[in-house]
Amino acid sequence: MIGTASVVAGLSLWQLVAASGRLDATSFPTTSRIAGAGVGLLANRPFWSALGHTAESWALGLLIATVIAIPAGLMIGSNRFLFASTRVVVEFLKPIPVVAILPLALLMFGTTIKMKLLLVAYGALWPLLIQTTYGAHDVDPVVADTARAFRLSYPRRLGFVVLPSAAPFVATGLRLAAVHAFVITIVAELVAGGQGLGLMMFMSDNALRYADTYALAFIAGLLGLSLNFVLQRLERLSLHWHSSQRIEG
Amino acid sequence: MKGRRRALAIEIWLPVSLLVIWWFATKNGSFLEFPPVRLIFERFREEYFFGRFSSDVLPSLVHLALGYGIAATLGVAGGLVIATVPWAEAAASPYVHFFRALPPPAIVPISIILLGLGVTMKTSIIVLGAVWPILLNTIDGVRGLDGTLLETARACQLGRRYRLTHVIAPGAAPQIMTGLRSGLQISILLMAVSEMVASTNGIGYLLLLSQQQFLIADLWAGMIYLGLLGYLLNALFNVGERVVLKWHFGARVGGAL
Amino acid sequence: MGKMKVWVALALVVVVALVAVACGGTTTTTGATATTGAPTETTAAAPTETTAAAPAELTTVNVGVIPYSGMGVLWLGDQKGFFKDHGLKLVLVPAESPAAVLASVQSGQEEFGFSTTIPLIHAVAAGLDVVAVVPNDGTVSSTESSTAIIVPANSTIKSAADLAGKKVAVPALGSEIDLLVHAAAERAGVDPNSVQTVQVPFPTMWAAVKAGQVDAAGTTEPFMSQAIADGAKNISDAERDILGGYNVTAFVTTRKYAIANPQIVKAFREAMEESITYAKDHLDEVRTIIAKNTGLDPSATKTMSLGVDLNPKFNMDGLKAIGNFMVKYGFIKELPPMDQIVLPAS
Repeated sequence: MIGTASVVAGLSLWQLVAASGRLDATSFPTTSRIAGAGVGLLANRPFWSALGHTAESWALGLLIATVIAIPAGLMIGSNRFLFASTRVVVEFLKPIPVVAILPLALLMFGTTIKMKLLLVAYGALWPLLIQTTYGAHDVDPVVADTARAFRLSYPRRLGFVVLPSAAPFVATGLRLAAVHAFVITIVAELVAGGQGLGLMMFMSDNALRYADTYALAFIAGLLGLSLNFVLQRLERLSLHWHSSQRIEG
Repeated sequence: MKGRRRALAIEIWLPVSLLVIWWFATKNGSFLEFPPVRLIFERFREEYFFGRFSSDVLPSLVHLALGYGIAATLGVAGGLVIATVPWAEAAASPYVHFFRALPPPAIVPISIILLGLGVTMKTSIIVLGAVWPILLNTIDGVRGLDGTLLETARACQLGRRYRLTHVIAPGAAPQIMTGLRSGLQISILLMAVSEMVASTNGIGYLLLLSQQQFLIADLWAGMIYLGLLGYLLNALFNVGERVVLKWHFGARVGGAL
Repeated sequence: MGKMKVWVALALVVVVALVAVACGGTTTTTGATATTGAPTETTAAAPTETTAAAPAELTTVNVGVIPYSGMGVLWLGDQKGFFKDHGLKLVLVPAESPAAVLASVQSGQEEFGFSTTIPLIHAVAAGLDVVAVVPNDGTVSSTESSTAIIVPANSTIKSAADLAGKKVAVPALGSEIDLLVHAAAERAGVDPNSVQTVQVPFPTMWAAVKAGQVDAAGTTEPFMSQAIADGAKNISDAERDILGGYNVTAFVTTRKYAIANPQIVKAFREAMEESITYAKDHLDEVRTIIAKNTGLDPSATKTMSLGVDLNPKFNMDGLKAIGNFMVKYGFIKELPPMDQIVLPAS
């Protein structure tokens, strides 16, 4: 209730400021114009087609990151030697922002979906890897010993002992990675190329339709927001049995 | 003594091996996108240590320090306030989550028009991106405090400000640290991004220039620079974190976290 | 109960997005998706179209383009079937900068690509294998201006001579407009190094000028007309005056591809030359297709300057002059040989 009220207040404030003429009219369209542009976009096919491309890149990139990060994280987290060995590499690569990799990705793959996948996967990899590693650290030694006593194979041990223990962290990591991946997809499209919402923003700029650009940015923000919200609910729902401190990021 | 050497060996064998492999794989310069490592180091030395240290590296770091500092202050202070005032979180929450999900390049054009091209714009972009994880983690940290602890503090008639600084803040400190760490990462990212538009200097500017003029070794040098910077800052942060938490751990009013 | 509803609604959003993946993700990469919602007009690229009277087999080529108003000739030529007549089926792949297109062509993702000549020369100087094949629309018009340096109406800057020590917005560093600003200043007797060029994206330029964040901006159509309609003053038709008669846009390929596929390259070149020749006498059709494929208002496209002399051949001296400018202002160290910049017509 309060949340909705505050949003309405914010939007109205924007409307007033934009309409007052103190800001340049073309660069700062009023909320009503942006809303109108937004409705116009949603009603036409090109938007949904672009959204499809964005979603495709996002989903595939996230999948690639997951397939690499979760097994790697489980292994690294549960094994002291692996953890110590990979620490320097991870600490060095982790802070390299995706924007720095972007030119390289462009050079390697051009403005194709492969370029986007490289960037999205790279960006989503780290939060997921780090969270999974952290979660795999604290496995109950009794359970681990029992599994070893029963001669469970290494992959089985990872899957049945380490993974459930690390589950809340993995879930948080997935959520962070998913939202991060979405932002990266749009940024890659906006700055580098490839079909999707980002490209649409670029084109509406070139067509002097700035209200469209704002509307698209707003929609992108909303999508990211919803993604986070939905994943949070799912997380809480599926892990209600697991009581542990979780890391928000 | 042997233990320490062994520990060091475990930590460096992988990075060193990767470096060696990378060196030899690219030695001939047969891959356009992967120039010889030696060339990259050369360009790195030229650009980042001598040529452009004062003109590009230093200003970037200044923006980073300013932006991160402001974001940290706003985030922690704001988070403490929001967590303790009942309706504040509900009101702020949509904005926090929304702006967190906005792609940074979307904010840049407005920032240019409103804030210009200088320190203000760049610092603001960093703040606008880095403040959210700090804010959210602070709120979470306060939320996660033991209820009994807070009740006890209130029952002991401890003043509001005293409660805030001696009970709540220390209690939430570990979580706040997590947020600050996250904020640092984002600050580094936005430092680079903010310098890619409307800039005449800075690490982001150098990266962009290298890309647009296809100076690939320079590009790699820039990536390595960012990696090093992040590594160093994170290491510094870890040291700082240990100091802060140790101090607060001692000052906390009972209760295990 | 209210919270439950919100959750359901948001879950719906995600589901819808996933459905959109299923529907949207299967379209082939056709450039020029009009934001107005009109279906794209490039016939050769539409995946569902059955080419009726086409020759037996068409070779599909991927062409990198930037979906802006400069692509009019290609779009029109494609629509008129010139490429089909030469046995080519075009798949247009959108990108946002010449550097991105050049990267795509270099990496083999695309066979041909649009680029402005200055990034092309940068690329060749940096060792990339790309080379120009055919002009995009022709040479810069010596009469009409489509690129200019603008200032606010009340500015103290009256001409290029007043640019000393000023901050000028350009779309990209080391770009054509960056070069033009330097050249215009020099021509007016100002030390080009005293002019500070700053990168600002085209859509933001005029607003930044008005807000006083930069003193002037080097801009192009359609942003130029929009700014002038809003009160901007044009202090220098730099492109027309300095680069008039030169090529600033072209289509490129890699030398590797050209050696392996001389027939396809020849076909592309001839189809493009035909398109340019046709466009010369049908400028209104060019404007129409620009409006349709970019989403620009037709009234804007009718009045904006196209700024080109539609000339299907390269002006080699002009390209060399551009290269020399680039060396002079420190964009590149030395000019590569001309046959690495433009593919010699065999």
